[in-house]
Amino acid sequence: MNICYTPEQLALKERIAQYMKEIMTDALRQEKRDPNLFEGGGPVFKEMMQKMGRDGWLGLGWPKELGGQGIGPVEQHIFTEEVMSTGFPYPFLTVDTVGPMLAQHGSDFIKEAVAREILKGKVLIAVGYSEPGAGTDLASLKTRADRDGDNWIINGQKIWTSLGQHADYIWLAARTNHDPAIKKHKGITIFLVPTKLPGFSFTPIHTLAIRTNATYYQDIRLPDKYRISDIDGGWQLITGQLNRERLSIVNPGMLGGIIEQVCEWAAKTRDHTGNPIINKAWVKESLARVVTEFETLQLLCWKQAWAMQNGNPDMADASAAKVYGSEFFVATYRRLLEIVGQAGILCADSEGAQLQGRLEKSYRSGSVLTFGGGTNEIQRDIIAAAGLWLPRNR
Amino acid sequence: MDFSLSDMHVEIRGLAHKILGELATVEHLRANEVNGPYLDNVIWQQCVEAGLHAAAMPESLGGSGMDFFAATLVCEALGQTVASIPFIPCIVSTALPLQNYCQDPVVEKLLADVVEGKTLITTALLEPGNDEPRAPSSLASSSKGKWQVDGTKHCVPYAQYSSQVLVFAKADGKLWAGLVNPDGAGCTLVEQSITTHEPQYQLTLENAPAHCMAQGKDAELLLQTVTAMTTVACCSMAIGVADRMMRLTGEYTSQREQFGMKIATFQSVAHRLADCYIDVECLKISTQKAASDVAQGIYDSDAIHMAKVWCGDVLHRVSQASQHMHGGMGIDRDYHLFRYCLWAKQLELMLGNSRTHLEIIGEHLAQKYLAV
Repeated sequence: MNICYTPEQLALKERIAQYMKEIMTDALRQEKRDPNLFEGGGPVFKEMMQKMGRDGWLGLGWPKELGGQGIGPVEQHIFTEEVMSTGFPYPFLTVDTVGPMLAQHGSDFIKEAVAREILKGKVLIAVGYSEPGAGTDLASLKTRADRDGDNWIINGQKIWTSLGQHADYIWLAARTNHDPAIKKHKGITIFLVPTKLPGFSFTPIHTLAIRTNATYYQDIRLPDKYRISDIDGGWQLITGQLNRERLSIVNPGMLGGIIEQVCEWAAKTRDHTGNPIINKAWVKESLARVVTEFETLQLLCWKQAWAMQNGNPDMADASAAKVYGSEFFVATYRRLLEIVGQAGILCADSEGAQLQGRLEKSYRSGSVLTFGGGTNEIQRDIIAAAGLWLPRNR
Repeated sequence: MDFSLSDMHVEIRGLAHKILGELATVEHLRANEVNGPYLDNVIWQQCVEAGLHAAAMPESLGGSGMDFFAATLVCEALGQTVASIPFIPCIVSTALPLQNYCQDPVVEKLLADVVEGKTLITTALLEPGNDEPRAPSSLASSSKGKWQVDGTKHCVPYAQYSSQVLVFAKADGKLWAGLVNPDGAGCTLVEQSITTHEPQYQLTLENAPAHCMAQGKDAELLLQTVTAMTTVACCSMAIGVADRMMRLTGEYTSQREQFGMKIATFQSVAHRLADCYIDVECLKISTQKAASDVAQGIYDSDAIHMAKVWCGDVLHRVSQASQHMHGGMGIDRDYHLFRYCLWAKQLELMLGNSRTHLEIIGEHLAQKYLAV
């Protein structure tokens, strides 16, 4: 039991922080101001992803056969935390969730044609799960794939397909078995759909904070070599990908140093009596709570990564980290905004904006966390069953 | 970064759960409460015979020489069972911090006797109306090389059962630490009535002869060691207490039927328990971090304050949730949840509640950022 970075891990962290100064340039910051490119996908972003690929930084934890470095999940987590904390629009769904699933379950063709390209920073993948009628009850999805010789014919609609407008592929869950006698989740197959195929289209959905998409699949002819799971055997890959996504979306790096920035702001900003904001009792208590809870989130994530390294991740603990982390982010953005006060609602492009308007943006983007990647109610159901062995009623 | 327990840790944890789990049955605890004395000699003697109490004491004194983390594992097992033994006051708060003072033959003999089970010792940290151990109003003075102390301490656990009490006072404006004999001249003990019924005493010192341990910076370091170790011990015991309350509630709601259904199948009940689970995980991981720091000799780590914030908050929330989900059963003294709920409140308030520790963390933050 020794809960701190090893000297090697500390050195790695430093090395990543140094390296990211070359990546997170002013040009990229400028590009991110376009709401369409906030989460990546622009030319500067693409250039930087390929640079990171060339320099060997994508896929620290991927197998060496695929061009990764084969080092552990703890190092992978340190990398993601450090990269996210710079504000780089790191495509974690592609690199940290779908990518490893492809490396593990994909055919040789998929490994060569797609997984390797992810490591080179040349491929973006969006996830196609949710449909207008299938959200939390994902297994009720209706998008269908029908066999036609060596091809599959795909028809349907997905929603909340984030980055779908820039993606090279959609990691798509489709129904391949319509037998009413079998359970819903046993008739689903996972495909990788190239977005350049005829029949794929998208329309934007503008949300509170970012742009996402509805994506449409009309008579797409997809060769069978793009099938990832066994036929009707996709559910296991969905849960595997979601387990990874849950940890990624509560990565503490997402706060991007905003806590330190608010502390600095509160130390140099004075109230009408000339007293630094940080000297107020309620501000100190609020910041103390934020820092305490932040460090606890870091510990929970480290432990998950460590458990993965040792091959023993606990399902209830992963869900606990997701619920805790998502509610922490929402509560923290509120606490930090309270400290900045009225100026907190000034947007990034406004005269008088504080801290580049980052908090105003963050509270709008934070609300997705409690239901994204598997709603917190489902996570609590998982904890009750897997962590507390309570009886289920469904 | 390593979250695994060593073989030695696994062994000591197993031993603690075996001894405490087998002996501290509900019937045994109840009989002990009715018949007294509070100190459960049956269980304490077993701990002494197995060497459990001295797992973290140095081998030179007859202990097993394990690190501080081993002691926290014993505290956790203690929380699971709430046996009435003086492990925290005698071992964690007093014997472990004093092990660095063994060049003093008085201390060496005293600690060897503790390891052998011949005597108990304890520490007086608090004074009436003064929860800040670093600022005692008690006064120590010396004349002709002999020290004596004046003042009043309270909530001193197991003082009546102890041969020596470690007390802190001011001498010439500086912090001072020494040992007094609570049975000796100048010492008066008055038993106080505590929510858990743990024996705690008001200790009045009037020209009480004392054996000086440390002064000035040395006394500050000793006190810091005592409070760091005791705080982490409280948090570790809290893990056991909270986990046990939550598991009892899980068992109860999985059997209790209303409207023809097990009440644990109601989402509102299951989710409240899931929130307890998340709370306990947070308490566990923050305490492990604090214990890991203390085991490496880092006694001024903010991680200790953070763990105590979780300790207070989690104990309060899990205790209330457990009582609530048990309905009337939760408050019935014939059922065993109440013991854990009483300990929850005592541990919550010991050595600073959540908000006092937040105040300290906040002050550190303000100093750090204002200094830039």
